[in-house]
Amino acid sequence: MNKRISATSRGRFFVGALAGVSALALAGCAGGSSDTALSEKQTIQVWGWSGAPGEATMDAVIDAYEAENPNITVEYNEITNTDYANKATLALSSKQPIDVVGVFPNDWAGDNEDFLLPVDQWPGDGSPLDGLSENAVEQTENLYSDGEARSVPMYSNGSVLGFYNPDLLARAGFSEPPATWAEMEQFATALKAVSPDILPAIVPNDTWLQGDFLLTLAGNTDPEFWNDLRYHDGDWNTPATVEAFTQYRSLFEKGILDASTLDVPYADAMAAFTTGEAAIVFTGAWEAGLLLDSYREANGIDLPAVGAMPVPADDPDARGMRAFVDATFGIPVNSSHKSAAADFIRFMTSGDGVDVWGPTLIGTPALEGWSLPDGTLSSDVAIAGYETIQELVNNPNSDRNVLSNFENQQGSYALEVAAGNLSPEEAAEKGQADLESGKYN
Amino acid sequence: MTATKRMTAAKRHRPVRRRSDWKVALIFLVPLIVMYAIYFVYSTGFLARTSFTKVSITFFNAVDVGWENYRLLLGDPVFLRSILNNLVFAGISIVAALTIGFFIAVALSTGVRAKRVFYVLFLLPVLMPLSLLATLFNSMLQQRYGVLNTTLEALGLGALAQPWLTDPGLAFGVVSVIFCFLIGLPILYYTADLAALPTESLEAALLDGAGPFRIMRSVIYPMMTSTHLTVILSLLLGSFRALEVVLFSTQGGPGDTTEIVGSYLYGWSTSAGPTVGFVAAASIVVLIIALVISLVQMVITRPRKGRK
Repeated sequence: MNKRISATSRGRFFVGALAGVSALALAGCAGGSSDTALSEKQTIQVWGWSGAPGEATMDAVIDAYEAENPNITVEYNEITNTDYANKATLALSSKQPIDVVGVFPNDWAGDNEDFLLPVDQWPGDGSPLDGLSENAVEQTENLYSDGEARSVPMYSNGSVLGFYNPDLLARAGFSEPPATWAEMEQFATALKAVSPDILPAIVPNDTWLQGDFLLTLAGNTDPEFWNDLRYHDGDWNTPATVEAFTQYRSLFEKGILDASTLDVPYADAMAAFTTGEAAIVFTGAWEAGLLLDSYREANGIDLPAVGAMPVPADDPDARGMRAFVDATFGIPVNSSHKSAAADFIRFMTSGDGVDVWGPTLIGTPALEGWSLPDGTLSSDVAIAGYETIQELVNNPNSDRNVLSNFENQQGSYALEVAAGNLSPEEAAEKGQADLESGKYN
Repeated sequence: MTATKRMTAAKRHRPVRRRSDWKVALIFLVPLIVMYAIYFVYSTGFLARTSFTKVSITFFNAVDVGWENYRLLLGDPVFLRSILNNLVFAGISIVAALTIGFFIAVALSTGVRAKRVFYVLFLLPVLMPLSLLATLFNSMLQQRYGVLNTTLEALGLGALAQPWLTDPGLAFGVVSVIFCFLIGLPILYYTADLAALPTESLEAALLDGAGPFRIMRSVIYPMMTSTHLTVILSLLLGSFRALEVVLFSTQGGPGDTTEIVGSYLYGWSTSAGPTVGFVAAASIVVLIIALVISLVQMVITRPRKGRK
């Protein structure tokens, strides 16, 4: 064998090597935007945040999907909701291999829209938005700067409403949940007379939920208040806000809420309710699983039944809450499994997957016409509670399109008003100053 | 040996500085310089540049806003209060360290029984994750369900039960106590220095009839000036990193009563929207404050000419 390599051969070798390297480089570059056919064996990576819909529920959905699609494996990475925004953004910007990404239905969606593939470019027949409720689709589209959806809504939720313990209501002589604040006061007085250690109602002290509660009170006075502020540059310091702060403080003065619970965080407030130490807990519709016997049994909650009620108002017809799409899922531009990703999202949002997670009551499905299978709820109280939640979520006072940091700040003012450290007027003025400061928008 | 011979010998043994020495030094320094350039200079420059923009965590569509973020920041009473709180909490913990911490360290170094047990007791809070410690305080001090109030009520002392976390003054006190709870590290510093203390001065003081407290106050305390400065600086700068203390105990509340710089920055950095420029500006301001503190410390502790 001639060990000498001629100049021509060296040239050919160099050109060949260059071509090979270039081909590899191009293949690497193209890998980001390529797609794997649905029929091929593959693994897709799904990212979501805790509670939407939650790891156990998602695992059940994935099992059902993999059973229908044995060539596709789904790996789910759930991140705490408080950490999700930053972690998911960093993962998307660093082009980590994510095929399905949970998209927060707030400013985060717009912030990250350049990382997401527009829904009308998703592989597959027909639009993934077909068959979903018009309201949920419109809310999702409005998350993006150009009104073009880059994620598909899974379900909607709302906040705030009350979950009640019918046994404790009955102990105070109430067969139906109080509808007005006057009835609430009567209930609180009656309950304390027979069970002084039991709280009539509790609101977790987390500032985001305090803000939510405050906005529910304001919405019961002026249903357009939040949408005006959110979409039409409306003011914060309105009569509805001052009324909401005033009403909130009065709930403590009337004994409906207890000032000693102003330092009770979410988990402890829920524990107070589920252990029978509080008759009513005010939180969001995402806790609707409490209506299910199976959920209570699985979580060691020893309550025979749980019902749901709107936040009372002076006028019972004014009762409502804010609601919005709560979980949406998109496909990163760099996914190399777009077909499988789109197929999985379709399965979850408008396919058979809805029958897997829908009965957990984690949210109201965006799928038009979906109804809860008969027998899911065992008691009249639970059935009535579920209907109440559906009514509130489907006919909200305004969109729960949150301004998280701003709302947290107003929630902290609500706590101060409740504790008597701030007057309702001062709180409303401070909130207006926050809004005008430019820090929150 | 004559003086001339001694000088000659000294000259002979003085190391000769060669031109190639700096090259050798450079070889050893280069990795450190590169690391420093990447992790400190670049990141600080990036932070400074970002502080003049309005941009989200995606860094897409950044808008140049000049000094607007700084204007917003310095006009924000919550930020100014958080800096003040930081310094006050640091001040309280420093006073606790220089008095209680110092006293405990000296007491333990005198050979008390079971001193290792005491060391563990005082060091345990420092060894525990701060988040856990603060969460424990939060749980214990809840007005209705906290162990402290329920215990007081069980003992018939219900009148002493307080809204520890929702009364502004009490909440401030709670955070102060948690800061003071971390005196284990200053105790370690003092203990290490006490071991190296020259015993002659102590023996002289004893011979002169000084009592234990007099020795502690007039002999040992002044001899440990450098340790005091180390303690002051570490606690002062450490307070800017004490996010967990506030986040898991009071969340900065009630209102902004216990807000510190760390919790303020955390709140903004984890919110959606174009807040990253604002957070970067706040970080730059905090960095400047920390640098000023360090410079003051360097000026105070530098060796002065003529001082032996």
